[in-house]
Amino acid sequence: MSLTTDIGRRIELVSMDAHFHEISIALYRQEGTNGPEYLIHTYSQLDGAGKRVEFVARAMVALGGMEAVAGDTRRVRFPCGNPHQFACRRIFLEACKWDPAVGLESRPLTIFDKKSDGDLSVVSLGDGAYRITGDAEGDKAAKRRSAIGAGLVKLGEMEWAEETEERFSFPCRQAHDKLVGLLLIRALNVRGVEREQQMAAARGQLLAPSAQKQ
Amino acid sequence: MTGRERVLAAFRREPVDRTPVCNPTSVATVELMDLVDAPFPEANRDPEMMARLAATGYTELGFDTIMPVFTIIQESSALGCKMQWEQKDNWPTVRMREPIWVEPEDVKLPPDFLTHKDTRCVTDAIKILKKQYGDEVAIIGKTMGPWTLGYHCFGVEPFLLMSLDNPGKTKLCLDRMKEATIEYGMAQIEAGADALTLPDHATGDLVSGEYYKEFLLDLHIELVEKLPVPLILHICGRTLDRMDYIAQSGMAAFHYDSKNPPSEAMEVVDNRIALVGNINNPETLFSKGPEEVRQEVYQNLDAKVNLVGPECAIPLQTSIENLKEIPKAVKDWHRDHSTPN
Amino acid sequence: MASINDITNEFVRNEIQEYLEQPDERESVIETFAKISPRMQEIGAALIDGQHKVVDELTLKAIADDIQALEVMDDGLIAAMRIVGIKFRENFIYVPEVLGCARAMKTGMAHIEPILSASGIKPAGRVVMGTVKGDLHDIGKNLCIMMLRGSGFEVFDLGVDTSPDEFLASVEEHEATVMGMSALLTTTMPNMAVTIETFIDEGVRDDVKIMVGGAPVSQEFADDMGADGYGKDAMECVALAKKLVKEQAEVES
Repeated sequence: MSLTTDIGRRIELVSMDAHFHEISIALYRQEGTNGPEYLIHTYSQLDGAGKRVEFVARAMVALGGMEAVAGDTRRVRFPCGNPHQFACRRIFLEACKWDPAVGLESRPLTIFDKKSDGDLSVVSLGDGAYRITGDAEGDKAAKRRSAIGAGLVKLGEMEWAEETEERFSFPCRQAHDKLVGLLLIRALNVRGVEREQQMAAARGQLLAPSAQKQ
Repeated sequence: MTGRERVLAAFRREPVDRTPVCNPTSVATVELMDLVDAPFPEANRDPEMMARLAATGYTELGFDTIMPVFTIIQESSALGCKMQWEQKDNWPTVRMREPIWVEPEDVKLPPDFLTHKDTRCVTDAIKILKKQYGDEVAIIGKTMGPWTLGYHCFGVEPFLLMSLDNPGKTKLCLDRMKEATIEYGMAQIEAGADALTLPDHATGDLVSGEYYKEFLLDLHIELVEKLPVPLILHICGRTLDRMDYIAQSGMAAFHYDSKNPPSEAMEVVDNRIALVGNINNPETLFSKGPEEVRQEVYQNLDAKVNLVGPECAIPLQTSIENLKEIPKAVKDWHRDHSTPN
Repeated sequence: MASINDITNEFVRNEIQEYLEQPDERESVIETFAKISPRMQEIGAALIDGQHKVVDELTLKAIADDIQALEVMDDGLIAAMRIVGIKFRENFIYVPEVLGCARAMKTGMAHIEPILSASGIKPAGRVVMGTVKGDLHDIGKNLCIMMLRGSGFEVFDLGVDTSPDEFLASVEEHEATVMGMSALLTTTMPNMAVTIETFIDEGVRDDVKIMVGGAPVSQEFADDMGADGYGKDAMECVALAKKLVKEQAEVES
């Protein structure tokens, strides 16, 4: 008799949990009555594995602004009822990394950026919209803010506002401040985004032969 | 038909009730390791753990085969190579940068070759599995071919350079190393293996098709004569250009990679050898979902590939649902086509 | 525009005619070789043919005759490796033959490197190179290292099966501007992302440019995991390293 059952589509895996006997912990997506839900699951039968999984679920709530599915200590969802799957994977990974001995707290919406040598803040504008501000001034700093915004858009599967490239928001139009705080540090390093921006800026420009792709 | 009957019939290219689902290479995953408490690296060195983990390929995933030799390093360890046993989510490896042989005269089987902890682990695991599941599924062992042993024991670069500088010397080395292939293969047959996978990595990603003909074809013909069970040759990578030669080797089956389209591969081998494969590991089984797995299963079935399975040892992080999709898709295809293969 | 007949060495001419099928590539190689002296073409021909002893002898002789080490390297060795790279890409030759040519290049470089080091020429940059954790393949990496050193880079080779912490420690120890990761197995490719994640977690991601390569790797994969660049072969690796050094200098200025 098979011990593995259908528990949904696995969307992320930590193959060796650093905080509990190197068990494998996975994130499964399921369709709940009020939208997608995410099950945190391990096949490990070790004593304490269940408690570890429950901690990860609590950490996802605390770090990423998710909520527990009623009556279930291992299942979480976003309050808005939307999947935000890509972001959920990131919340799961961060939750697994979190040292259980350290109290759970969400990440701030301000961070020091080495490249622009100043603080960057993500301002929540309501209705799930955000904007980036920073200490540094000038073109270079503005480009950097734009790149980080693009990083957040990519990581959070957000959208740019139609009228301006300085605002971006979640398609669900709900605030997800804790999630944005969590994604911010990753957004500083989304290289592919910078390349896309350079290519977009270069489109339609007449390049000198030496600057053209060989 | 039982899984075992189905697989053995497919190796003989005889009619079957449905295409067997076969893994000539590992389908172990970290989640299955957790399920039966048999993590790497220990599951490669302890026969009980090895058998327990290997059995999940049948009991959990629904394959028609059980193949307990997850890695390709058991013989190399017994021959004296330096090993790196790694951890749960990483494959054990041979330190090929520290080769143990340089000249043909160095090629020797130590007296404890078959009783070494790592070779013995496999034969013991096969005995356990044969006792528990031997009537239901085909138990497949694995014995490394001489070319791959050459990489491990001489080092990849020195071995390939030797093949360029001195083909005669290389052939002599291969001829000596094949004794390890034969001895270890026989030991597994005696333990109860129904078939043997024979990895011998003369892949198109490294060497030409003519290399296979020059260095390996005759050796493989000899191995078929010496090992009295169906042999499944496994070569990764691009191999269309050498499949015609492989089809002449007398091997029962060729386990082929996703870089070779199923229909083209079937055309080249022209029913002279069974094909096993060729579901893509990194892009499909590892990265995508059951729908994509199903598509590749169907492609193989549409091309009348004899046995279906992953193209090579699967990444240890592969999801269980993707692996379970393989036998599901095979059964659905046959139901929809309603004719035996 | 140069023509094939401007190349004095018959072997090199035959190689170009027989194996270089893409017109712009053929043109570019002809332009390069037309400017190279017959003596350097002879070294190149020996390299393409994998004749490491001949390369050894001719390189020594050239240096003894006061030909500049840089000229021997660029014109005698590196130019010829380009033809080797093209033949390999197009499956006219395979890894054993490439290893033979690499051995020939290494033989020549053994005489050139000490001269370049002694000349006090500032390295083009410092590069840490390694194959990622779980992967033991290094043929491609070693070719890249050879070409990087040939192009004036100081390279620290971490070998195979390199953990994220080992990459991190080496970049910090050597203050490397660029780090290159190689993977030949699709199963080990994810370790590239893990390594980059480690750099982010340690807050040092901005201190180094990271390039990746290896048969299963692609530009898309490189972008997704946050690498700074992807090179599909040893020649691209060098061009990319030069570009990344420049970019990093701009960031730090």
